[in-house]
Amino acid sequence: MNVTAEQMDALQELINIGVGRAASLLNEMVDSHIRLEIPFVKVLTALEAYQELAIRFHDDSLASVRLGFTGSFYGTAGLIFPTESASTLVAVLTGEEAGSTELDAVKIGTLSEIGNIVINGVMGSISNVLKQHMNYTLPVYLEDTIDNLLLSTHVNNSKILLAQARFSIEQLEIIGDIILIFEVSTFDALINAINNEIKMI
Amino acid sequence: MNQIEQALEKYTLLDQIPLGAFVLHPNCTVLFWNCCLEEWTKISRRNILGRSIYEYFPHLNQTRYTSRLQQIFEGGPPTIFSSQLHKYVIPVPIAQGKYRIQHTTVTAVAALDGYGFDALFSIQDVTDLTFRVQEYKNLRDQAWAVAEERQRAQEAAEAANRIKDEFLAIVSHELRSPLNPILGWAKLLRKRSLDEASSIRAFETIERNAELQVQLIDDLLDISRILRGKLALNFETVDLATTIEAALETVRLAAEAKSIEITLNLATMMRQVKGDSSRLQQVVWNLLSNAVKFTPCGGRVEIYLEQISSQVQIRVQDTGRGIVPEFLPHVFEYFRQADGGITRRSGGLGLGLAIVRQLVELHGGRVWAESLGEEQGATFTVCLPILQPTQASVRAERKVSDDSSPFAVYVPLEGMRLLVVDDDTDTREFLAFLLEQHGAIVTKAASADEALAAIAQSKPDLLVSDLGMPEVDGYVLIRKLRSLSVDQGGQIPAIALTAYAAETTQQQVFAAGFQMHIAKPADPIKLVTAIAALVKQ
Repeated sequence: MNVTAEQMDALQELINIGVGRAASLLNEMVDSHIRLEIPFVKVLTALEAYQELAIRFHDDSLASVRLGFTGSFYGTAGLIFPTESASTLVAVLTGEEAGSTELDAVKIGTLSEIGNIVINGVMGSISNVLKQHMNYTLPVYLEDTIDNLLLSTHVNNSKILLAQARFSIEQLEIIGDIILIFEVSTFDALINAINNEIKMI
Repeated sequence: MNQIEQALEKYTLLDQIPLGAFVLHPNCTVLFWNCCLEEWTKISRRNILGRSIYEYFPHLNQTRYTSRLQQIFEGGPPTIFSSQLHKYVIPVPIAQGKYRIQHTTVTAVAALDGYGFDALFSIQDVTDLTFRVQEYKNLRDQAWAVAEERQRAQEAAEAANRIKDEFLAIVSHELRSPLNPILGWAKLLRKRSLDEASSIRAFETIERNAELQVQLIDDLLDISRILRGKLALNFETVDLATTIEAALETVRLAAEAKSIEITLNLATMMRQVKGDSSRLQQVVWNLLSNAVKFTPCGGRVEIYLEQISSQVQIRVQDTGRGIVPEFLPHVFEYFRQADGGITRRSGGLGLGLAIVRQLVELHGGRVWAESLGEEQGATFTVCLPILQPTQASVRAERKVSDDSSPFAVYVPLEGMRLLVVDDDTDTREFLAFLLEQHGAIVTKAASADEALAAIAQSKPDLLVSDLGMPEVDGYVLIRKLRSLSVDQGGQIPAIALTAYAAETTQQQVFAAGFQMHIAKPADPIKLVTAIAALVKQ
């Protein structure tokens, strides 16, 4: 199913709302002021998504927080950062001096929460539109190259929602990628639901 | 069965896991509280089940928790509370003011009554993990610091070595250079193929170069002593005006040769300091000699002696080559010369100013250089603390040092009987010849034994002896001599001549029984004067 421009706008709006909620939650918890923006949202096939991300990240080590959803709707929601960006983000939010760029066990815990808050914001928006309950898997943290992180999607007939999340904290700008992988029928259902919303307005 | 009982049944397995686990109803009452939590918090389930969690833990009643729990109670995705962004979810104290460090996950579980969702909290204790991480970081940072320090030390050592290598190259060259004209002219003289004028020139050149070499070696020895912390100063009251005038005498000829005008501006006020007069003279001489060396013909050198508050200042200002700004901070460092290449314009070892700084600092003073730049002249200023009038009354015992005696007056040794002891033939012959030229009657001995035999035969008025001799050295000689009775010559004054001017040698020399210690090669006038003075006493 192709997505119309109108639908794309609605999709972007949806995600913005979710991310906005996440931003206010984060701001409530930390000292520095965080601005979270989604400059663009793309709908891609698994292959297209892989190609785009492979060009951007090559063999870089990436830190990702991921959540699976099942039930009537099926897919994965994840937030990916290059490891240095992830480390810097955590350092800034915890008020640590950005010394080393490595992610140790403690920082990983913090990154998991940050990713979790953003993903939950987006999933909250989506489940509101879908108006259906979903079951979730426990969030996991993974550190790997883009190849391995997207491994499972190559096989599936999936649609990928790629949104870039721009974290602006003081003079720092850290960019993470929100990747929502939907099994096709789920994606179609999402677009239908969005359509209904649009019609109602 | 009420909810509590249902919960107990449903969640009973959670009593067997090493995580803190509890279940909250949407109204925030506690439906389940596992054994681990009972253990950690010392709150038994009996006391908390059915009550609001806020009764025990009011801090959970904040937006950061309530809004996220809201999503859980609606059946939303799991939420995480990390250790860095939350001090704890359920505080578990381990010591005074310290709590277990926790990582908590909350998931939505189907409500017991079938409608809606409850919140299941799983609390992981990551205290150990956190400390391990910190420990690792500390060790790693320490290791880095050590490695960096080593790297820096190595670089410093390498730089120092490079400078020393450069210095060695310069030293070798400089020490070698004076020997060329000395040998050259000496050979010509031996052939007797020179006329009167050339011969005089030859002698002058040989003398000048030999003296230059003595100076170079003295500088090296001074630096060596300074570096080993073995430089001893003889403190006494010194009149800086006299010191400056004395230093001036020694550079006068060189200045005249270059038509350089030297002007003295000596304030008549406080100009006395506590110091080693010969070393202070060395300081002034170094500065003056540099000024003359680096100023072109027809230039000017001005010397100022002034009082500035409680310090007295000696300023040597020249109209010479000046110092470039990049080199200015390095001017007083060892082995440094503004141009260290093979094509250096001026010779010398680059030690003079380093020695000056050390000597000035040993006197509690400061020395610094100023220059407007290349070809714009330079000013060197020495600052010393003034000797307060009350201090002047405390007079240090005047030890006779190797370069004492301000007298430059020629005193003959008419009629004096002297014994010269040295195993080196050339030196012995030369000394004897020199002293005879001044009117003395000289007996020569090539060893300590010969000397003692000569003394037994006829007592001399004074003994001049080398220290370093094979088998029986100068120390043994003087001790044997001093052990003799006055009639036998035990009290004959003695001067030690030595190639080593080390301080320890000086102390040993006096302790052994010598009255004086002169470094080789001995300045003839100094030696003669010393002998005359000692014999007259």
